[in-house]
Amino acid sequence: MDYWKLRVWFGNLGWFRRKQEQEEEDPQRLILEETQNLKKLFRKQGMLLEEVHREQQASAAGKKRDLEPLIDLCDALFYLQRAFQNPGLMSRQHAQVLNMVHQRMHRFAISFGIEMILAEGIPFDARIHEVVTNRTPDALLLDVLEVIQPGYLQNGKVLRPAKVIVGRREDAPLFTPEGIRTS
Amino acid sequence: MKSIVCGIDLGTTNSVIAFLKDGRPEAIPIEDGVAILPSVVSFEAENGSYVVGRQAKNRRAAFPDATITSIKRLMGKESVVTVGRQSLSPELISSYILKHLAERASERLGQPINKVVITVPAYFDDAQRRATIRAGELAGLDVVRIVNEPTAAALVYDRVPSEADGGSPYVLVYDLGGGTFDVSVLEIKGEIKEVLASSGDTSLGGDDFDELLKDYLLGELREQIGGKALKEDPGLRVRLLDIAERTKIALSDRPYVKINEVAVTMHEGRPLNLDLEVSRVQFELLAADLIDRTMNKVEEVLREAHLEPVEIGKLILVGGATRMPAVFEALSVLFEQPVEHSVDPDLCVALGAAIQGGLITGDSVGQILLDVTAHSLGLKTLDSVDHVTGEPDYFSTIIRRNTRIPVSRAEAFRTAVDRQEGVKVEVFQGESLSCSENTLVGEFFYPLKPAPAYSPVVVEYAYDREGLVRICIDQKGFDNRKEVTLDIRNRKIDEASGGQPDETPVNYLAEKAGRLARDERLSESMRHEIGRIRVSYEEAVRSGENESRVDDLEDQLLELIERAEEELESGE
Repeated sequence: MDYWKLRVWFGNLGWFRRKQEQEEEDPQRLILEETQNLKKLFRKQGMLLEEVHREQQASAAGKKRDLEPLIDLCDALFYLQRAFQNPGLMSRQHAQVLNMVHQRMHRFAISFGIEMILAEGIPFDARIHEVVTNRTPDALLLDVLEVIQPGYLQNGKVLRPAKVIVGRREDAPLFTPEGIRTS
Repeated sequence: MKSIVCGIDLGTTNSVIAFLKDGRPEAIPIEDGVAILPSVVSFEAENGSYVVGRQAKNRRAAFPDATITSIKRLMGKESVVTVGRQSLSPELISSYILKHLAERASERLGQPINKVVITVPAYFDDAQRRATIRAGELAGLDVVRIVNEPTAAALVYDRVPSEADGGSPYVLVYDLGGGTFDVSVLEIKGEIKEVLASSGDTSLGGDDFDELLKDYLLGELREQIGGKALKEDPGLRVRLLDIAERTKIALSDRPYVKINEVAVTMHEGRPLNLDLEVSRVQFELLAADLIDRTMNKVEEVLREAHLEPVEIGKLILVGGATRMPAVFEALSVLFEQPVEHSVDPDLCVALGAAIQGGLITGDSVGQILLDVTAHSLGLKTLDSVDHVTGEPDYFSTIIRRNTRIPVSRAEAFRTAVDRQEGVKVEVFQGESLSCSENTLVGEFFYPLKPAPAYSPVVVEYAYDREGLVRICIDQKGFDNRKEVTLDIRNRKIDEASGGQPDETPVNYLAEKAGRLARDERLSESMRHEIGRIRVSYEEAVRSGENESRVDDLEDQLLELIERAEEELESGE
């Protein structure tokens, strides 16, 4: 594609060179030639743009499809880890192993530009969290208590919000913007 | 700068805004590159501010009293919605959705959007239509026209080249959305499209199909624990609904879907997994009652319009749930004619509203050129025999005509006899149920592993924009898979390539010419000429011939491409 973009432009430069050599010729014929060349150039550029647009669309659709197996795998690991979180199901070391594998998966996803949304204990953010249950319906300020299904971001765009259980935000001392702890 | 009249499909579940770009309707992405906006508004109790769309939907379970869904159902009614201390009219809430759509569209297009066409269901009465106009006004918009949703859909298909109308002025629009179902019969009198009859079910939509599958999966889980009840778990419902929706979507393209889901829930300290296969047949049996409910409404609307199914000239599908093959099948049985489905069913109504906007401003609206399959593509099966030769002659469709490409579809077939040695796969294209009346485009032999009669074999066709069909054939339950590539244009089978085309085009001009040469909407002579010049041009480029020869052929190719596009535009 790049070669052909260059060819459009350099082909055109060649035409300007030829035009200079023919300057002494019939001006009407030269104008006609010039118009035809410009017309051709516009046509080609129009087609090039059309093709670039098609490629972009195909690439965007392809990228989304390509990510599906990765997201499936991240989901599966998340559910696996959650299933074994129950006390007594495995030793602390086993849990640690699973956690380490999960961390690696997370890093692997990041290398594809994919960020998992699975943090708990953070404020509920309607942009990236979809609430499944609110444990304290009267509360106005909510935190994510539990992630039911992880969500995914790609370059800041939400591919899928995380499905979460929310509840009242616990009171805690706040940091001032300057970083000094106040109560 | 010329002002734009956008088209808005203000739906019960989702809304879409579209505009006319260079004579062609285009939906505008609103959130994270997605054009479909949930019709949900959620208010902040503290200050009365609100959010619209996906974010509002995400807040629904947290703030159910402050989140409004399906407000369209209340339009034109004497009712108010109370949110905290505020009392809001349905028009005002709808206006927030309209305002959000118009603002995002303005940002996207880089110019203010003041004028809009809004669609409403055909059954909306005068009060509901006036309420919709009022909602537009409250959003600061000039509602230049209200258009019926089926009319908008028909406007789009007016611009899609088709052979389906057969001279009849009657069009049936079948609209199965996320939560509602509408069906209408229109009479087309030139530019006037009159709704003759309309019916529907406001509590039936694609979500009901997800629920059915969810219940089926829940039954599978309970079976694992001897039929005992599972502990109440909000996560379980969410997870099962998600799996159900993905399965439903996948079953639209293939006959079997494998579900492998780890730790769907916990029971007595053990994880319960889902590891099963669901077939399309199973799903369609589950969903038969829902499909029947829609078909009863179709028959009702035909009776109301005093029409027989044979009198309908065109069938149009709208709404995402119409992607289910069961919908196709049910309509095909009743109407015995092709169904129009080439335009994205989620966007179709908004695109039609944008066309209406363009017609009002006097913009020229061109033909909508879609990359679609010009013919149905399938294979020969035993279901019926040729009366003269006694040979099998049934054409089993895999990809229907007018399906958007690229597309991948699979169907299951069964072997006819015990220990059948193989299958002669004969690929046909055409519309007749008899292969002898269709065109054979390729054939190859597929050896089978020994198995009893009625063993399933899955055939998948993946059709790309270059006219190449990658065929995968798989004997279910065996490690026996074969892939071949079929070049439809040259009717050439490549069994060795495993799916790779012979040679890629030399550049974008050759690529475009190649596409046009395969476009069956063009005259045979035009396609032949483009194909001929393209071959010479590619040869000249590849061989590095002198530049003037390449330039000359390039000129000829450009001329031909332009003429071909004109031919497509004029629809001749």
